[in-house]
Amino acid sequence: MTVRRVPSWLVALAVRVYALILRAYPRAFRERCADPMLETFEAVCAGHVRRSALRPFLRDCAGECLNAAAGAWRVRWAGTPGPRMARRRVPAASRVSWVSSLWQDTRYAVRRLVIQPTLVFFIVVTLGFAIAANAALFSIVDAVMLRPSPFAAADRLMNVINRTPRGITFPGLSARKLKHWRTERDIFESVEAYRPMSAVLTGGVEPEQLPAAQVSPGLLTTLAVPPSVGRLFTPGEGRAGEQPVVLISERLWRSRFGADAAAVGRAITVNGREHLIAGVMPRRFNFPTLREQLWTPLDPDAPPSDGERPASTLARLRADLTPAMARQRIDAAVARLNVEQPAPGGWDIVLDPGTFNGADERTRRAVLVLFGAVGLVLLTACANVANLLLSRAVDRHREFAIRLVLGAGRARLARELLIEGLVLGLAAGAVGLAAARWAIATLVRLAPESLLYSTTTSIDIDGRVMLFGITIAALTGVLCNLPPACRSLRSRGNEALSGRTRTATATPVQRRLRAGLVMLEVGLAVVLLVGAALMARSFVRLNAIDIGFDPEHVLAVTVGLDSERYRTEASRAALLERVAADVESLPGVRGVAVASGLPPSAGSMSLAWLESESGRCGGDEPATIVSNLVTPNYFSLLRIPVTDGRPLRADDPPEAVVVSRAVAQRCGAATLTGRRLRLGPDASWLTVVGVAGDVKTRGLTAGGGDLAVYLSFGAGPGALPNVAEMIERRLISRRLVIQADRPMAIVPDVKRLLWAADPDQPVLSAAPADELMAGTVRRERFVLTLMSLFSCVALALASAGIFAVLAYAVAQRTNEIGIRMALGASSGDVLRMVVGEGLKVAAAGVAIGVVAALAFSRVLSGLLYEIEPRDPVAFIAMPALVFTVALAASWIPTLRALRVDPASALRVE
Amino acid sequence: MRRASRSDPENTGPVPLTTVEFHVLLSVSDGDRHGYAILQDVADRTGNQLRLRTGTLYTVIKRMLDGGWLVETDGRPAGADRDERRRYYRLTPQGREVLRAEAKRLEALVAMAHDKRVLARARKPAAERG
Repeated sequence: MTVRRVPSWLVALAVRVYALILRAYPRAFRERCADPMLETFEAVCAGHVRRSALRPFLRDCAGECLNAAAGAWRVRWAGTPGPRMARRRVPAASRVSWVSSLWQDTRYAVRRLVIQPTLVFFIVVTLGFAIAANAALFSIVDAVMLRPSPFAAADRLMNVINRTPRGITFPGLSARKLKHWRTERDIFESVEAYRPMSAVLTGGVEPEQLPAAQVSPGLLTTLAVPPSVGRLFTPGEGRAGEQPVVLISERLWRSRFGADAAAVGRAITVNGREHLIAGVMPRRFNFPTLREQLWTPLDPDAPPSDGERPASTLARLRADLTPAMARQRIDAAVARLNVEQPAPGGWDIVLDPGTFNGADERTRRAVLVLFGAVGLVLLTACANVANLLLSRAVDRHREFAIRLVLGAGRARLARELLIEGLVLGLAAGAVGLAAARWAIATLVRLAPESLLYSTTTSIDIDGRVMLFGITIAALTGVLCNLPPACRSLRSRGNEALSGRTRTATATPVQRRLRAGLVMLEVGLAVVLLVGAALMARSFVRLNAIDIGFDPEHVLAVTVGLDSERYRTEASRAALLERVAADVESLPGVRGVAVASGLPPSAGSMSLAWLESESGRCGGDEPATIVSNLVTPNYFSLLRIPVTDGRPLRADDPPEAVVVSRAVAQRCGAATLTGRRLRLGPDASWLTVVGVAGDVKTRGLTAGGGDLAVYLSFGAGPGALPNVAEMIERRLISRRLVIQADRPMAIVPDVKRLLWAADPDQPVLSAAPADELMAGTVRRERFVLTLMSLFSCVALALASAGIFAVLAYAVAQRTNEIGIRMALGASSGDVLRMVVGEGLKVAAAGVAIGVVAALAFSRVLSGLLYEIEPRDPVAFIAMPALVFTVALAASWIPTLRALRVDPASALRVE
Repeated sequence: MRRASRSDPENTGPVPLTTVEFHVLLSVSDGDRHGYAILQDVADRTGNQLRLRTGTLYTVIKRMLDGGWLVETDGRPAGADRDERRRYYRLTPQGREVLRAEAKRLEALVAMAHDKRVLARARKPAAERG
């Protein structure tokens, strides 16, 4: 026994706790016994202190406290009968005894479980995993769909989206339109703008980049979320010449300022400029996504500058308008405006409830599919555990039989089993909820942008998730123990005691029940596997889409050039071309190009009319045109074929451009080379020198290639439409496109070379181009990853179930097999018998599973790309896989059956 | 088990004491003792086979106080303690009667076991007594 001093504070603590427990006794008891009890407890402690026995002290204290708590329970609920003679006459059926026997049963259940640590470990891990996954997904479902929006009257918040006369919609109103709609007071209470941006915080060791958003000052009052410290933006902030201010997230406030209230009013450097902290936004304020950490004011009247999309627009409808009335008034206003002040694309807008009040349809579907899938995993785990418990119930059969004969009630026995299940379930729930914290963090990291956009509240373990977890834990625990409990109610005591132990342990009901559970498991596994296979096939199709360029071994390093330090495009080109030349000399680098964009964000988007010398191309509809400033080697580096004409050359004049094939198609010309184009009536003429292959930048599933115009890097902005004069200092993003053997390995070197050329130059991001492209299919990948994980778990559980049932059957039929072999059955016959049984169960399960999967795949269809929900490959391959696994799971039981020695088997009989 | 005991003919007479009750009564049979002393006495006598918890002890003590088997005494051994909260318990004549009845019952049971030669090893002392 270890001899260690017992610290006095520990003794004091123990006495405190004990005194607290004593308060649970009824008053009459306390008045008489509390003092001496405490005194006695102190004496017990003092004894341990004298002997310096820390461990026995701890054990004893725990024992004493539990004992006192149990005593309080007993005294309170079982009453304190006087002399014992009286107590024995209390009728057994009274409420008092019901409660005290409940306590007895619980203790008994815990004791029974403690003596089977392996079984309990397996059950708790299986159920714990399922509960963790369910709780984690529930937290997402809760945040995305169930919880009310943190924004006041969120049902009146609408995204304002342009609609062209031909029905094409795109977000972001131009400054002019935005300015006008703000004045339509009989439709909107307010119309505000916001734009995601990248904020670089300097002043630390290395410039730190944070997701941020620019919001117009009125937006925050429109959303009606008060700051937790400080103030919101005031009208006018964000205009050129105003003192720059910033709102920070609570997370940033804690991590960078230690939650110091005095941080408000302090200055921080954002994108190279001092900003005063105006206030701190609360945790539940997540706008526009979960990620933003900083908000700066946006001047809604300022037009978007080079490389920026128009700001997204958000409006609050007047409270007295129904959607239909709002629509009417908008239609009236649009008709008037189109006549009075024509604008490109027309004035029409649509109001989209967006995600302020919940997620969009596709995201909801994805989340629900995953929630359903994880529910199936839970069911599979339940079936598995129920199977295990059933096999154990057989061992307890005799115990129950004896107790039944002695007069125990069936209800009491069943209750005992259910309590056992409850205890197991709650233990698994505790494990599951502990693991859920980690699971949620992982999910949020994997989760696609679209999902986070839908989330206006934080995803976390809160009271609701806890409640959900505990509820499903209790339910699964009871559910798992239901089959054994039902069985114990059906058992007939004398039968089990009649000595025919073999029949007592192998009733056909029992076997059928267990086989049924395994069938269920197999069926659920098939459903999940088919779902995963459909997602995988769809994902393969998505990845096989010709994106028009080769992102392999390409690194995109995005740098933000300060518009005041690099005023002209030529100065920006000079810096980057110098760095590019340095980078090119690094070992392993095959080539370096410089560009303003790289798919999926290939330069600046603008809405413009495409005009050739013979008139507008593709009708009166303005189109989204991607203009990208590139160095001549951009095409060869990314393997974008130039099919007609030639790529750009270093000595080309600024008006020389290469256009994408989609542009040529839109203009309906066989060849555009040598022809002149312009982007809108105000833009200058460009000369086409070549036509390049189409590149997909707007997400993989969007049809058709981009209307892309490639200009020489260093060409002035005059060629581009809608480019405003620079009114505010900002960061202009440009990319170094580097082809290297090991792209990520050279990132530190690239940074070093860049900082050698300009020490204050922030690097906004550095990522492999293939990863950037993969980001566009994140939702599909998210669903696929989780579905694969779930289906693998389900398959493992199902195969374990098949194994357990067959192993059990073989053990039970050892005699029979022995007799058969003694009578001349060949090993082939035995093999057929065992494997046949396994396959029978598997076949039934697969049949159930295929039917269920047909229903499930219909739900999945919205997430599939170019794959039918009834894709024959998935529906044939996955059941085949399940059969194979079932065969493998039958292997060991079959070997055992083949090893049966007929002589010894007969001897037992 | 409860069902079985209800049909037990013994139920009509005095019911056997529990082990804990018997030991507590035994502890105070030869002099007044306080709670901790009872715990230690029981542990010593049983060679640590039976170690009572405070809660269990006082549940029993309370019951016995209510039943009139024990009383709290104010007289304390001189200078033995300074703790105001400490109580000493004394066996009442009624309690002594219960203890004696229980001891007799147990003695009778043990005698029966001897007659049936259940206690193989202990046969000798039984024979001596006879």
